[in-house]
Amino acid sequence: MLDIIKSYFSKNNYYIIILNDKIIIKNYKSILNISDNEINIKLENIIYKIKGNNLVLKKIISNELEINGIIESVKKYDSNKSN
Amino acid sequence: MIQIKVINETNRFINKCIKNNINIYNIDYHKDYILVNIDENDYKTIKKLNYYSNISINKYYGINKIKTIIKKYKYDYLLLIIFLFIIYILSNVIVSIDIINESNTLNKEINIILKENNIKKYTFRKNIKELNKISDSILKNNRDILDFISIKKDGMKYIVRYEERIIKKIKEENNYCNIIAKKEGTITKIINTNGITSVIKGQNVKAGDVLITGEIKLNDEIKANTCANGIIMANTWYKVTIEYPMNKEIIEYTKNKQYNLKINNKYLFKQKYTNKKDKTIFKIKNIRFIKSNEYIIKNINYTKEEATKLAIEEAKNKLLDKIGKNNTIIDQKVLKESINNSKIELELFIDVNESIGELEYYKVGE
Repeated sequence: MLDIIKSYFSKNNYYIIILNDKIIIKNYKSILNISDNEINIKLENIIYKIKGNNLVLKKIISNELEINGIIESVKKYDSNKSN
Repeated sequence: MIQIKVINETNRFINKCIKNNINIYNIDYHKDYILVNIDENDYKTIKKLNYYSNISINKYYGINKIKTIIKKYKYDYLLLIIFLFIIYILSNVIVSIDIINESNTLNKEINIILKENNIKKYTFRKNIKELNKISDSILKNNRDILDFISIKKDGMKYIVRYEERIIKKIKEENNYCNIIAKKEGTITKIINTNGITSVIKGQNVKAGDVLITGEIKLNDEIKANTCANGIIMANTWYKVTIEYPMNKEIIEYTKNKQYNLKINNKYLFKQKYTNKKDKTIFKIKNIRFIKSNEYIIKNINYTKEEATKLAIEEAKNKLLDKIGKNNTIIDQKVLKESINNSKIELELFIDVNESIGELEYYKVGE
């Protein structure tokens, strides 16, 4: 809980909070694709690939989004390299 | 904030919202639709962008929710308010006044005094302060008959308690008295509480005869004097003449009634009945809520026997009013009867058992 509060006040450009059944991402750039098993999200020059089951978008408020579902893995890719 | 229901193309709907930076506060996924919480201001834009989806408002939040509920149930709320208002009015109206006193001798007078001070049935109840003020004022203005009065409210009624002022008659020690007969009669009962009885049961007495004397004698010599006291009952006779109509108009109430408002003695709604009696249910200043009961006037023709019976009853009641209700009528006989101008005229001989004693003061040596 303290981590969540701390992350809200930190000066980082973006942050990702991974919980058991949800992921909260702040300052994302765009959502590249959404499906039940995989969601790709772009943050600055990084792409995050979230894999899991029953993944659904729960909230989108300004630059913050919440994804609910069973999270299996979160992988990080450099968007320049992948391009 | 509002909740909208989106049917068809739900993924496309979400993508469109993301692309157009529309805030989505919550998404609930269902089999055929999604429920989405959005700002009310974004609703028109969303409708425009997602023309291919079937979008409708499902729920309101905050003030708008209250507004829609009020709009939806406005008649129910109005009825509730009217109902509560009626309950408030009814619970604040006095429906009865109980006057409590052991002797009940002044109840009639107290009733009149209370009415003069606006303590009436079917009026709004007053607070304790006002009631205290009224009871103080009643006591102040009726010191000669009242020692104490209190008015309390108990639910929908007032409870009035009072204590009668008893003025003790100071016996004048120097006054001696006899009890004498005030009219002719045959003695039936003697109750002597002071003095010497001068008559016996069954004796005929004339008006002015001494019944109980205040002179205490021993061997025909007056030893002492007192004020005689007691009750002497005797059979007496009265000749009474009475007239009674053979035809009479009586009022009979029908089941028809009408409720109306009377403002400054003018009816708000048209009066349904010509023959009617108004009863005020409650009153607020010059506005009266009244109930009008319809009545019909019936003409009754009595037979000679019926008219005679009724005339005798009326004559007996009038006589008892005159001589006092504590006396009893033993018998009555019709001496004469005649019918003139639809009226029966009776001359009656009435036999009464009544108290015939009255005080007569005397001075020693007179």
